[in-house]
Amino acid sequence: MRRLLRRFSRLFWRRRDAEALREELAFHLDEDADDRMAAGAAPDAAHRAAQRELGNATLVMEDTRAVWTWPALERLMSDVRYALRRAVRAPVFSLVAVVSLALGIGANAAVFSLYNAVLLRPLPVPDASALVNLASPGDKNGSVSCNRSGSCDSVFSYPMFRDLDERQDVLTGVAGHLMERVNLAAAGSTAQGQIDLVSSNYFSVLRLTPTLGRLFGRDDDRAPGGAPIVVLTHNYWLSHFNDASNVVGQTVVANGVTLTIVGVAAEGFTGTAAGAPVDAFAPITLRSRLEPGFNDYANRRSYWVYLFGRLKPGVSIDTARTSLNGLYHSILMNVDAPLQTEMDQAARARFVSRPLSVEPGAGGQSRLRELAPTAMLMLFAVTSVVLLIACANLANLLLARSSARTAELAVRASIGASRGRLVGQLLIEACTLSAAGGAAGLALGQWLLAATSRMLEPIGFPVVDTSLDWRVLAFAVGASLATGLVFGVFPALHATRIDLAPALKDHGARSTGARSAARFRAAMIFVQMALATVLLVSAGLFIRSLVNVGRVDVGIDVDRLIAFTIYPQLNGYAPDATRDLLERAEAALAATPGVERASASTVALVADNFHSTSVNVEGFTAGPDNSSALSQVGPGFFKTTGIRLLAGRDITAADRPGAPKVAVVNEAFVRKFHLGPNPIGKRMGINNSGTPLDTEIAGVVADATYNSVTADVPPVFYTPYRQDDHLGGATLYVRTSIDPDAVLKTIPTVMARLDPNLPLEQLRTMADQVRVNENGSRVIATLAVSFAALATLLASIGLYGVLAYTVSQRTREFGMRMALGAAPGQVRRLVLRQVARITIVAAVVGVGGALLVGKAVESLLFRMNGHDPSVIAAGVGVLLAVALAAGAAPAWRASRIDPIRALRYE
Amino acid sequence: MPPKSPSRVELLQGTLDLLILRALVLGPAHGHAVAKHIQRTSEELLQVETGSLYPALHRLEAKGWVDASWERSDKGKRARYYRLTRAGRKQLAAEQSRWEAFSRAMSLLLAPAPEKLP
Repeated sequence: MRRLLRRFSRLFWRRRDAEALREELAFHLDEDADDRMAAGAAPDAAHRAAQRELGNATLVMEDTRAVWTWPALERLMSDVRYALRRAVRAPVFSLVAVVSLALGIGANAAVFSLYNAVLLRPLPVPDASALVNLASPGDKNGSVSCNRSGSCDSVFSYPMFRDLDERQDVLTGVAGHLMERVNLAAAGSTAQGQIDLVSSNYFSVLRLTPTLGRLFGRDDDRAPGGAPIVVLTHNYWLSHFNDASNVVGQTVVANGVTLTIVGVAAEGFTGTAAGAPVDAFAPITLRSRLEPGFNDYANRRSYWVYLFGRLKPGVSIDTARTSLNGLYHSILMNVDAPLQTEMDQAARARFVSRPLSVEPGAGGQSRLRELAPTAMLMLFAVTSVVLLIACANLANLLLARSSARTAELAVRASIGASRGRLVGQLLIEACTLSAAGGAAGLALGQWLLAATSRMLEPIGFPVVDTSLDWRVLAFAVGASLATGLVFGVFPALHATRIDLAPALKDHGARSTGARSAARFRAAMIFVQMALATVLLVSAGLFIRSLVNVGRVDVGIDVDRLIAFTIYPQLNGYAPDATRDLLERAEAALAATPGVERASASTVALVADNFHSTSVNVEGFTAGPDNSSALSQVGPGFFKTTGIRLLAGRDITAADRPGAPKVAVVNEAFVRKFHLGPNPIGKRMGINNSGTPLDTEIAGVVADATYNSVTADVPPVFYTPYRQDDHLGGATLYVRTSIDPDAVLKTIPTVMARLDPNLPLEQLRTMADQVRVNENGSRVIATLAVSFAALATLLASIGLYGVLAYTVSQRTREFGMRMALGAAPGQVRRLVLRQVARITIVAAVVGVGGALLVGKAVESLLFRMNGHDPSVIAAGVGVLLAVALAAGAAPAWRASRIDPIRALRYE
Repeated sequence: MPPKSPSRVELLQGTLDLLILRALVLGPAHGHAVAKHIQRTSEELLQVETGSLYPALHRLEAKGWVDASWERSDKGKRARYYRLTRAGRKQLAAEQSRWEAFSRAMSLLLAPAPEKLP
């Protein structure tokens, strides 16, 4: 260790060290001379002899110095210094190379950062690698509920969870949990929140310690409904209690249930599901309190708990898997299977033999982790195409420059530098550039990612921690160096294949191997152009699709319309109280200045909500599919929303409980159930094909978007919400007479007067709601356009660079042509023809690739196919235009060559 | 991680290191004294090349087998004195026994009258 330290201290051989060594050698010379004089030599001769004996003092110094330093490292550093000097001397070249790479590496680093955050980063708990996720793939007969905590194959019944936890002996514990969306009130404000309902051993299995107070202990989940306590996450504590240390003992209210805060979890820990951070943790036995009506703690056929565990020290995951499967199968066989009475022999055999999956769980468990890989793969594919194009630029620039340096390299080779040394030096130059590009790219990527996720978070983009960590850093460094090495190799090999004599004589105007270099350049340009075509056409497809989405007539008058959702049931309202609240809200809102009218609807429109049921319609023979979408709405709903009433009447305040049951149906409903030209007055039954026809059709409305802009309008029937017995919540629609933004601000005050603890969700104008609903298409189109623009820009930079270089190389030839009578226009065309030729061939190949891509993404396109000819033509057109623009300047320069000077050139 | 480039130092390395360590057993000495000692003790058979001596001394220092410090010589001039460290003594013992084995093997191989190889 000390040795290494000593070595390091001298790693940078300093002048002081050199002085010391010189003094040491001088002393030696003196001593030697003294000896010789003592033996009788003359002082002069003695000194000369001593000097001779020592030999080449510089060499001795060098050899001694080499003992203390790493010569290879020193050479590397001097090469890097030289590369930096060269880079600074050619600023345009360096800038183009570095910017190209920064864009390419930045895009990749951003995607990798996302990938890392979702799939690689372990949970912030001690020894996360010992965690394992349990899952229960296979048929489950019974009710299955699953959410963002993980896939539907991962849930267990509560009794199974308890059995596994009690009887297993390979894990420190099996922890169970379920995330739940709740209305969470703390410190005077209510908002939507996420609570993780966890078993009492959740924190001990994770080996977490509290920041404040305590976490859960054995007795906290004894009895269903018991222990109304809560542990806050550090974030929630910070944002809602200003990290006050007296928070323990205070309360929060979740879905109307008052919970006492017992502690605050460790900083940075927000649950085990990537992309879905929670606000607080409560005992799993509270589910029946937070969710009235839930009581499946003893039901072996209700699957809803997510499980994970921690391997005991010394137990391998395979051992644990074998042991847990044995236990699981014996429980299935002896306890669960007998309850599945309606199963036949084969189904029962399948049921008892389904496996218990035990997989590494260092990153936690979440739906996002299961869905992410495909999306990531697609993103990576696109960003690596961009990087490839950037790399082609680097390679071309390096090649062009190294050809221009043939003379310098020839001189160095002729005074003894080996080819390996020169290749090494050129590679280091390439890597220096790519490292600079990588550093800039990393910064750019992080910034891009932060900006993008800020933009996308409001529309449900998962919240993940994409801050820089060593994996992202390693990725960026690796990508940069690989780029520099791989794409620096050909130019370096090419540049150092020097035939000395002509190179020195000729000053490198035409080096040997020029043809292979030209071929390489052309190949790079070709690849760039072809890839750019693919991305351009794909972007065109998505833009066209987005335009199609924008052209959809939603059938709702979205101007001056506001919507927001409340869910009183989560605050403990019974259905009657909810109905009453909705009526009062409609009245209060309608009385607000600037508001024309307000109506509620149990299903939010254009918000990806879909409720449907079976119906029985007069004169319609029930087929295999007799379902219809539905919504329960308030008086004047169609007038408020602007959905056109075609026949009959709107829902009115007279449609009260006890009044005759009525429904308004849309055109799609009329078509599906063959109601003919006069549907008004016909009768229908709701919920079952066998129910009596107790509801009269009182009106018909035009088809209006129901769940999503891009979905076909389903058959819908609207009934008065006042006649419904199960009201839980509703979306209120407010038609304004003035600028809706002004009303938007007063709505919370109006609602707070009715109930201050009721959170308003998705409060926005309907126009915004439609835009949010189209966001999926918009995000894809934006990404596609960004990447296509980036790729095309990079490719055009590359094309420009190569053309500029070839024109300067062909100065003599062009001069000759013009001397022989070629007009400037002809020379210009000569250059542009070269551009057009390479671009057209690349475009043809690129279109081939684009057709494949189009086929793959067809399902994402709206009302169009993946080989839309006008889009392909536009993509190719853009490419040609960009290519010709990139070629214009070099072509112009070529046509301005002065023949006299050109012929004297060199 | 000693440098691998073949220099003149390398040629004598094994033996020169041993000789230097052996010379320093007698006590701290500067480079010239070490060279003179080797020369004298070997009855002038071995001539230590200055070009190899100093790199070797510094290498031994880098390896931690000797320590160096600036001191006044007998004649009052500043000189760099080298002294054996504990690690150096151990190394000397190891190298010495290796060398003895080697030299015994060499003399066995070279001494007897040539026989026919089997």
